[in-house]
Amino acid sequence: MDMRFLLALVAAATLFLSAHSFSAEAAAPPRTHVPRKSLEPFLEQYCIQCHGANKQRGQVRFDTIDWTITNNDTAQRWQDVLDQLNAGEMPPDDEPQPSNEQLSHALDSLTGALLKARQRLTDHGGEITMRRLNKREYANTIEALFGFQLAPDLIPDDGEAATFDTVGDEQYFTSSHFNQYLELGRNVAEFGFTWSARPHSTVTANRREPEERVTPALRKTLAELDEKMRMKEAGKTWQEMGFADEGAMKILFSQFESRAEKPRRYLDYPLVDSGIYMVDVTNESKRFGMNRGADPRASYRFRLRAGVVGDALDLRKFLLLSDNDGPVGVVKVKGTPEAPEIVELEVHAKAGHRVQSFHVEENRANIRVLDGYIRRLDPDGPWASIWLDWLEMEGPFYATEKPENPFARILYPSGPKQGRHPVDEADDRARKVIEDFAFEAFRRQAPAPEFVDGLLALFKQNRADGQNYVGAMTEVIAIILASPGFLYIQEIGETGDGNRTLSNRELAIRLAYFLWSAPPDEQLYAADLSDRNTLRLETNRLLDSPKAKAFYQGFSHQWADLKRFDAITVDETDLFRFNKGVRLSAAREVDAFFAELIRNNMPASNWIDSELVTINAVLAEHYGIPGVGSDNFVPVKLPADSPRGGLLGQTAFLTMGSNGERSSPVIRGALVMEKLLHDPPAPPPPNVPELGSASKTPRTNREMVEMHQHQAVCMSCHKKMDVIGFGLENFDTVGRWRETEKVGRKDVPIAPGGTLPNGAVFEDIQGLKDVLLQEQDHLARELIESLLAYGLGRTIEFSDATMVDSLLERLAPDNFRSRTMLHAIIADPIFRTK
Amino acid sequence: MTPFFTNSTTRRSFLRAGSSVLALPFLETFARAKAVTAAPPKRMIFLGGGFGFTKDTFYPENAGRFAEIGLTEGLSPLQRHLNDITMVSHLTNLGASDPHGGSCSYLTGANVAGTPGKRFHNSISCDQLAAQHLGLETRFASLSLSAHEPDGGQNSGHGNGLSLSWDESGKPIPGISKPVDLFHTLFAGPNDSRAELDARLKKTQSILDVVRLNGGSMKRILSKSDQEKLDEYFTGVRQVEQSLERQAKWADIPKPDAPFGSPEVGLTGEEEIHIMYDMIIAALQTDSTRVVSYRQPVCSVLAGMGIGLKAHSLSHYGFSEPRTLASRERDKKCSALFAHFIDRLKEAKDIDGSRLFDNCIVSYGTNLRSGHELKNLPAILSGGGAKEIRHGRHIKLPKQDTPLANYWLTLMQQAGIPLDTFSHSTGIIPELLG
Repeated sequence: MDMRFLLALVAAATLFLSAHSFSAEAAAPPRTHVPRKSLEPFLEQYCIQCHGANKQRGQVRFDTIDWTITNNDTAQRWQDVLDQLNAGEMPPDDEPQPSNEQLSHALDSLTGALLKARQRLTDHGGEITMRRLNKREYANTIEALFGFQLAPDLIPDDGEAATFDTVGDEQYFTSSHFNQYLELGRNVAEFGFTWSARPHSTVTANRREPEERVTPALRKTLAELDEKMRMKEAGKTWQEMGFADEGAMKILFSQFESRAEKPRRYLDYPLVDSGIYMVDVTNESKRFGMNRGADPRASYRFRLRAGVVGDALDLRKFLLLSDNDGPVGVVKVKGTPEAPEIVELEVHAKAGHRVQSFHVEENRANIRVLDGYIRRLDPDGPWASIWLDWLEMEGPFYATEKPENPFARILYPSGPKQGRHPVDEADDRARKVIEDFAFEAFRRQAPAPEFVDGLLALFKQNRADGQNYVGAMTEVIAIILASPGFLYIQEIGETGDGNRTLSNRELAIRLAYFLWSAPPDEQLYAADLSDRNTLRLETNRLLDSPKAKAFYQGFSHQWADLKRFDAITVDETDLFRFNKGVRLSAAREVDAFFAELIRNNMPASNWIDSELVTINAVLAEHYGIPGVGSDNFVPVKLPADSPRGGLLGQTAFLTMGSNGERSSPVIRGALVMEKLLHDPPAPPPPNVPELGSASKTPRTNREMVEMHQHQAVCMSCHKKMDVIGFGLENFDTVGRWRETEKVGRKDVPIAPGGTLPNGAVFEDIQGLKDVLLQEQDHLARELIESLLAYGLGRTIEFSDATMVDSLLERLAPDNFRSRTMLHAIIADPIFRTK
Repeated sequence: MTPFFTNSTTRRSFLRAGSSVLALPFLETFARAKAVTAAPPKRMIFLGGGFGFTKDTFYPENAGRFAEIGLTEGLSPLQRHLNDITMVSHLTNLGASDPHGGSCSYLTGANVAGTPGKRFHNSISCDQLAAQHLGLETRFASLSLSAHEPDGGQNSGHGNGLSLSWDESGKPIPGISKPVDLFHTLFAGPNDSRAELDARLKKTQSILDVVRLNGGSMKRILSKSDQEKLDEYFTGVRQVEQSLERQAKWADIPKPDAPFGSPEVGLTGEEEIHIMYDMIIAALQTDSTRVVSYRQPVCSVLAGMGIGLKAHSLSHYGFSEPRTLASRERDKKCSALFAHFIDRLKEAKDIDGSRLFDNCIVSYGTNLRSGHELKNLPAILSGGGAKEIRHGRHIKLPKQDTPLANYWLTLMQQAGIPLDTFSHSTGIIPELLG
């Protein structure tokens, strides 16, 4: 490897990069010291001969190298050294080689220093970049303005955010965004004219009897098959039997048994004339559904009556309920076909869906043929496990007595109107309508007069061109909804003269988007948030409102990095206890748990270990915990010896710590370091060769991962994360408890013990948790920084260290209780500063 | 610092003046070119996959003519194009440092984590640079194509970004990701009449004028980074306008009629790539554009092959024997798809009756060799557009870690673009020529 060449390139590259740097005028350069004491002896022994005072191979010399990293050039120089060592390029093969231990030690200190340097160099000095409403916030903001919910697939996706979807610095805006927001704005306005001011409808229920769709059709199929068979036995020709050609006949009779078998088996069931058995004999017996028109301002009750057939396993007693956007819940069926019971689930309708749909199917692994699933799971179990009597959708159910939303108030000042056309339509009111609507859309910021003038001129032009009032006003509203005043959360400051203290209105908005992902309500706008007690009361009110679900979900899912969970494809043929219902519930468990911590103001350490889990019936089955019967998540106190409590025992966390086939101690360990220890491992270095290819002899997971320990380049990072991961090996790929692991054909006991680099020893999961609990202040720091990043809309940097330290210090005596932590963050000056 | 907000009238008049001066003569050239069948133009096509190939079975070991050294297993589907492809070894994207960073710096060469005060910052991609030179006379300066995969680009090894293309300020350019959208972009439809376009332009411009007025209220005392955000917004708005203006300028020259029916909605994987290839060919044949970048789907190709793994999982193929086999199958599939594209380029006629293939420079590759290795990335070249490049060889460059930017620079020069430097280039690659 020609170092000179590389270095020349590096110089060229850095030149190029500095031409693109922005903050050249940053105050004092951040300084990171490369640990000289531990690195210099290494360099002197193995490197300085060729890269020192005498020789400067590749123009690299370590005798004059800068041991303090203050800029990207120096960082890049050290990065090259690290890359060379990691890739095993240096020292060259014909020179003396460092021992594994020496190399690992050198890599360790350099990797750490560079990680720190990178953090410091990307420090933006606490500046909050104005941010655009993300997808969740857009939907909630529209709901607050118009009173209806919007189908999620209508809203532009957020790009990939490395941290949170609230961080402005990580968002992009392109021409295609503008086109999409404008078009979406038109749709929203049209929905507004259709729905927002319409009087509420009365509640009705629609019911469907599934047997009507399934049983007669099956009887007909079977009768036709049997008739054909009788004709064949009577010696009829293919023409006489009504086939298109002889081939068609041959095919039918060659498949006769398989075609007739399932219908026959099905029709042997006793209650096929009053309900259906949920098996894959027809598409509708496998997955049955119904539709109805729906009001997007209201929710509907999905209701069904069903019973469990015979002695089905608990795992087979669940029905997966879906609406237009996918699964919405998993319900456990009780009762029997003879004495069925009713279960229901409330689901909100959404504008943009032509009809509201409701489907049910058995919640099971994605294995095409039901018999195949049963063969794996419960060979002697019944074919059908659930009998479905009927499905019903009832609604609409409204949250308020009559339509109450700014759009209706402004466009229809004299009250709700039937039909699409505003009776109050009056062109001479147009200016006021535009002003008032823009004011609400801009979160109570008066629009600039010239903007209103422009909109009014456009409105008048459209009217002059022959458009009706609704059409012309739809354009105006679309523009307001696509303009920066609506799309961006702007914080200008109290006095508007560069002072960075937020105004009361801006603070209300920041707080509402933090805890509701939605704009403030009347009470919050009116509250004097400079009063500490009011701020506290309002924070509590927001946290206890149903709207706070947006926070519990939005924060916890992104903090725990659940997009990794969403991206894992679990091999459900092999891991047939995993299914859509488990997936849906596993994600919800994370936010339900977080909500529980906030509700009861529990210490942050519960993320490491907790006396309780928050689970629904599906997860209760998955974890083997008795006593939970519904789809609602409830806190359940664990037995003292349960390994389950905390993030470490949650299915979503454990499954994303796998590759979908096997658990991955590496990923699990890295996640623990990042989320619970606030010690994210360095990103995987480039150019480190993969560990040896697949071995012919089957190995345990642990044995495979332990190969890292034999190579210095792997060891320096893996010695911690792998060992943590070993402690979690009693949880299988999808988070179920196991004592043994299948290796080849043998069941080998799990070995969950280990020694961490700091000398801490643990024997099992409980021991690992105890070790992690020693460092709960690290967890607290991670949570504080993440909550701040989410709430402020910026990443927390090195330059924030003092502020975070002081928060930590104040919260430590109270064990970093969760709600107290939120109050402290919100009361901190940082939260009212732009 | 450019002002984040300029008076719309001024900006508009500048745009009008600027573009009419620029565009009209080229319209004439285009019309003439059609009439007298001048020499066909050069085209550049950049195809990008994700997460590399199988180390032991994809990459040739020895340099030399493929006719002599033969093709590796992974490249074997390219057998019929043996003498029309070039593979270059020892190229490294010096900007790339994150093996999971994917395609985001593949065409830019930027160290996206290397800008002080920014977690992520990119620079212009070479296709966009090429479009500034090759795209002046065509309806579309360039086409940036992408693929919509359900779980985003991360799992396909593409990383950040919306396509392979990044604009001058380092912002991602959204790729056309649905075949049906590309179809309606390229071919004549009911909304493309002069009157329709003029009406749409007029309407949109009046909308954009009003939207710009909303900037005024915020102009007062925004911080620098807020101004940048707002500037980004208004740049987006301006791009909407520019794209319409370009369309309006072309309104008198009808879009070509579609040579085939509109593609089905919801195509994925191999089928999606095939139809995108067909439309790329049609776009080039009709001279609708001369520069194309295409960030290809990976996960859905795997799914279509019956491989239940995501691209990232598969890239760590050493984990098990079945995975390694699947990885090798994937390699062959990628080569077969590329071979198919070359077939189509060879079949297609250019405006002067020559093969379209002879006037194209086609690059296929990605940022990553295998596993986490960023060094010595896969780079395959085809097409007769680079007259100085003799195909049929595997070239091992004498210097390891020759900058990928040198490769892009060489190709751009071969396309007749007068540039001496690109990204972190240190020169061209003489070994590629002659």
